[in-house]
Amino acid sequence: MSHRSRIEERIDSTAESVRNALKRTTRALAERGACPREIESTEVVLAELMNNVVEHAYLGQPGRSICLRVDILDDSLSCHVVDDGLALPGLAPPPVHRHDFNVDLEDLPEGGFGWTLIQDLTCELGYVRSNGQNHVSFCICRNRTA
Amino acid sequence: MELKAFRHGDTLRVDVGTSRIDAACAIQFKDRMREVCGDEPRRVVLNFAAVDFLDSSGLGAVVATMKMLGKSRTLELSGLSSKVSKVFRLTRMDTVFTIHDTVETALGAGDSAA
Repeated sequence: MSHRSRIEERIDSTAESVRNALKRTTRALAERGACPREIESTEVVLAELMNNVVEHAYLGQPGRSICLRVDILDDSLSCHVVDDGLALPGLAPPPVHRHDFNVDLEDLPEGGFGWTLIQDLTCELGYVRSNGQNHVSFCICRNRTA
Repeated sequence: MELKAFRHGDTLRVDVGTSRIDAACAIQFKDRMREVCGDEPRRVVLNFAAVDFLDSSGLGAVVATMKMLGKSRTLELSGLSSKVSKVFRLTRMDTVFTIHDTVETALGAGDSAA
């Protein structure tokens, strides 16, 4: 694994830090030859995962850290997000929940979309709770055109 | 959070001047939308042409805005980038909102005076 094909970040547990890390990461991916579709998917999934960490694992508390790693491989972008906050309920990513939109206006959901996006855009989504840390890993498949 | 509102007959056009509607500004977006929409007109068209990125918090804020407008008013969307469209499509929120290609199309469709 050459240094050039890995992007690593350690950021503070705030929504602003997540936003800035996403800007840096998408720029770095573009510079290293990832295509727009791969970058878009990576940005959406990382945004959902890291904002979940800020909101749920750290309960909105700043001053904690989130580690992010993206390895740029030939056939995929392999991503890892690590935090030492609260564990995922059920110690697993939640099952995909398809909302029923055939409801009254006031009953339309305003949340619960994050994991739908994560599951739809990734392959090999994994979660491990180990030594008080959450490790989420996933891959974004790449177009293999020579 | 920069929102600019323009009245076109029975329609309020709201241009979103920020490039990201995300967890860092979703609440602010919702609050500002409440201010600029006021009590009228009936139809509100959001122009997302300058918006590059929207996450699930941003999406929730857009849904909350539609709910805030209530049943007697409508919220329509326009100018979605491919990235923003993808979020609406994957969550099937594209079936809940009327979405126009551009704000100009939206105004033409709803207000012949525009």
